[in-house]
Amino acid sequence: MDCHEVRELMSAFHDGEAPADVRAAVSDHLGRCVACAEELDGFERLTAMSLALPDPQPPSDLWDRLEPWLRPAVRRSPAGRRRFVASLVAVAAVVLLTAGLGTWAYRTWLAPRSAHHVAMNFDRYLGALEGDPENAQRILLAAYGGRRVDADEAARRVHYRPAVANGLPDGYRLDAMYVLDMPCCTCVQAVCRGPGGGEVVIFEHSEDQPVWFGDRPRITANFCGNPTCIVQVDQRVAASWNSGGRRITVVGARDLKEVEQLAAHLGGGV
Amino acid sequence: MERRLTMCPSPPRRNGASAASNDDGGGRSAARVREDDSLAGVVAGCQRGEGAAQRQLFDRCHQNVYRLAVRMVGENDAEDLTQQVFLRVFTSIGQFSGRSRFATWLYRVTVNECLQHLRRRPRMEHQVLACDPADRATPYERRAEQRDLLENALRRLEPELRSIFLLREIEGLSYEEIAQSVDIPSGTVGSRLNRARRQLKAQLIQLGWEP
Repeated sequence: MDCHEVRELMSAFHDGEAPADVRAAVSDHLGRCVACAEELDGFERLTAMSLALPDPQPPSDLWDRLEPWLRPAVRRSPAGRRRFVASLVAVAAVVLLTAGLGTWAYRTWLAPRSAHHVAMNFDRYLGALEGDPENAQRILLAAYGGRRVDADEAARRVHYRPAVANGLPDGYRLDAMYVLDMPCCTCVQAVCRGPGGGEVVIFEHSEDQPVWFGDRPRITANFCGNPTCIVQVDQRVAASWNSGGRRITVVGARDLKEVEQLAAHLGGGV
Repeated sequence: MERRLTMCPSPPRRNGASAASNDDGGGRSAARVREDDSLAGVVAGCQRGEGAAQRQLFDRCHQNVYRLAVRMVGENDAEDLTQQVFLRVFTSIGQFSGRSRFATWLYRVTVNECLQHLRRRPRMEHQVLACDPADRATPYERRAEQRDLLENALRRLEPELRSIFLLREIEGLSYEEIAQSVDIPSGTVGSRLNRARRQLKAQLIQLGWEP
């Protein structure tokens, strides 16, 4: 064997991956060639240095931060569910009566579609959001390759101008915008500040698709003639509706009135 | 040197082809994910969506994932990366057919997530050594210096080569396992390791290492 051949086989020889006959030929060459022997020595030193690297230890609470994303939403007490539904019914009736929007309906959200249909799973995000909003956002960005963008770059990435880019209702401020590589599509997330200072997060998907809020109690109301799914998230509300062939989901609204305001501004009708 | 164990030891793979290919017994090879019937049962439980099985799988594998993530993307991002890997694992574990070893599949997910993360992230500034290497006199300090040098040199290595080097030298995978983990022909693993080692050596020399 010549030096060129031995150099090609150096790692395989060093790692014990070369067949016996090849090892013998390489060994014979190394016994006669100082340059190749020095290269092997360099490989051996790299291995020794690698073995001496410290073994980084993961944080002990890593599972605690991951687990909320894996389990179903915590079930609320039956009494709590009834109170929530009753309060939503009352508020919805007042809002709709006042706004003259017409009839509304109460029904449970349909069961999630089969695995062949990709649904935006908000259940995990909402579960983490209730306990630790900052961590929920971090996990969301980590899970879906979140990248902070401005409105123009978001438009380039998703091939449409996000509804939020056309402006927010008076009193709202856009704090940050991200694009997320969801299984379903590339989604735009807008983190906003509402009139009361609370955080409102708006997701927009390029396709009209189901969203899954887990088994949280929910109602469906009509805003701007558009069926809107509404669930409770801690002391606030999440809502989701179709808008011009896309899906908009708002998380963190104070009440139905705010949902109605955002739906009207962002596009609640086809 | 014996590496800290995160999993039960498995038989060493090396067969002494060169002077450095020593049987390191409880060293690197002991850091591998232990594949046995109990792991197969845990994986099956995860495929059924069982929370207890997910916890078991996490406990058995997360240190391997975290260690690779630290070396690939740095300590600051390794926690998020590790969580992201397990999210991917648990959501797509139904696709694991069992034809390959589970560890190979897990490393594949880890490497893919790390490479995607690095593609999205601006190139990191290279860490500056804390002090002049000539100032370090004691053997302990020289070993610490060598660790710093290698970590710096690894950061300068292109990510694909870095992943292959780490899978071999740190995780102890065979060439066939490396090929499956990074989806390359097994016949090219040796040549890529040649490139990785030669580039690392060049970087080390540039950083002041004396071979």
